[in-house]
Amino acid sequence: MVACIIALIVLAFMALFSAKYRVWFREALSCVTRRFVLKSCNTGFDSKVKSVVTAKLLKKNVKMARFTHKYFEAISWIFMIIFVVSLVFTAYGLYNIAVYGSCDPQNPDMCVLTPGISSCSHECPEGNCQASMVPCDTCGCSGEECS
Amino acid sequence: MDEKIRSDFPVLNREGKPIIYLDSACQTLRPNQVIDKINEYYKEYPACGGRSLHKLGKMVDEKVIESRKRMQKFIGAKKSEEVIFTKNTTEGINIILNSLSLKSGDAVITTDKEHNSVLLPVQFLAKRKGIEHKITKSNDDGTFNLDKFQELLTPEVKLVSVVHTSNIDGFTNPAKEIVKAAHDNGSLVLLDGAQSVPHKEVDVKKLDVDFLAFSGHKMCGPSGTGILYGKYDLLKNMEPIFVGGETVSNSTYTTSEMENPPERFEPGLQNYAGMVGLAEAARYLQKIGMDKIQRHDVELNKYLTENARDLGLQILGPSDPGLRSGVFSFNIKGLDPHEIAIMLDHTNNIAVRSGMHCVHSWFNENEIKGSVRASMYFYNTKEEIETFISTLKEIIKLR
Repeated sequence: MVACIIALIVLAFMALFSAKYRVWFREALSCVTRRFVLKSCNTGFDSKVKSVVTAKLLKKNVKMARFTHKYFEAISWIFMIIFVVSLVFTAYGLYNIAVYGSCDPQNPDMCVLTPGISSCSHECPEGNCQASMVPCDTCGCSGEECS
Repeated sequence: MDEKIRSDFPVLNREGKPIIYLDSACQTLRPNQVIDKINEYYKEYPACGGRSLHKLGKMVDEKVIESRKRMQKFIGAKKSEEVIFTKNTTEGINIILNSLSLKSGDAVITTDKEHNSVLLPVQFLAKRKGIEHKITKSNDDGTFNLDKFQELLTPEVKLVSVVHTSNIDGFTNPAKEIVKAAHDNGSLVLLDGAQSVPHKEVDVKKLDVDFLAFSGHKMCGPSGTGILYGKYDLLKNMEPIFVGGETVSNSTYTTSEMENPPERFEPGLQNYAGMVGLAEAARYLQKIGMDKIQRHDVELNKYLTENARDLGLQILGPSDPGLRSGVFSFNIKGLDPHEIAIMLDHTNNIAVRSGMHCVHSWFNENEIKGSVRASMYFYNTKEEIETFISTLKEIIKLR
């Protein structure tokens, strides 16, 4: 079940780009929806995922393959938890960007994503800056030239 | 078998990691000779048969006649009119079961290892027409129990429909004895030859069987092709279940005059490319020799069985591999058959079949979840079997 949920999310993304993954996505979706209504997964999708992963490992390390095969459900749960925690942190990060932007509150000059304000007046190579404090791209300098 | 034969099969010679194809009971690979014959139809005479008087149409007619004769020789039929082209074994079986005038109170005997292609039409007949369906049980090792079968033979039994070689375990039922017992009882016999005809010589005259159905795709022929053989006098008195173009010689708004067999049973435009391809497949197999193919299948199965002895596999069917044709059906305790099949594929490109192989009834009755089936043919080698065994050894370590 857990493997199906993870696969469903991953495949939903991959299915956007390739028809190959749409078939698997449908199988994963069928599996998840059936399990939510307390029916067994009749596509064997979870079993397929488990076998493919185990087979890949079997070629490299038998012990690891055996461990994965034996504890596949538990490993799936670990990945699920990691996935959910990552999702929470991602959502929290997006919320912060939306509310505060990407500038450091202690140092408003330091902006990660949004265009920042840099003191480039004295370093503007073309000398065409109109003010002492202007965005870098205004005066043509960029990157390391701006401080 | 030599490398030259393997070189005829494009899939076995493709670049990259080689494929080990052990799923021939489902569908065999096709040699270049068959592929070329199919292409020849589309390139050189892609026209209608049996209707058009132009040169291309005549050429199709000639090729169809040749193909039918080739198939007649392949199964040892008396005349080519006894050979009907179908799209597979299932269609052939359905034609016979529904064209015979079975009525309420009549009985049909099948074995307990019938493919759904036999079981379901019989079940439907039982529901629709009220015929009785009798099932003869196999012995515990999967072999045929002739005594139990004979006990079921009563005057009501109008048809005995049996699988010749089982697709579960590869055991070949004693067709000659079954036919004799059935005929002594006044019953007709329909043989499902899907797994036997491609692997051994099956001569309808020697067996004295009334009907035989088999598929082209299991004998190196094209997909969607098959043959239904029937004794001419029986076919002539049967009503087809599908009618239409070419099945009648004339019609009015209210009447029609049926053609003779085989046209009577071949409605509509036919799969001409498939027909010539199937005939070429039969020619190809005969050139190799059916005896040689049978010996090779058994030899590989013996080699596999002996070398897999220590693996603790639960093998379905008789313990003697000589009785299992090219079929090696097994389970590994603690592992799901589908998982094993996927792992064989993803580790060493080994193609096998897993599940109930369309014989759900037998697996359900015996409370077995399914099996992994490796099925061998003349293009398989001992080296491939060794890779198969070594991969199984790795998979078994997962338990």
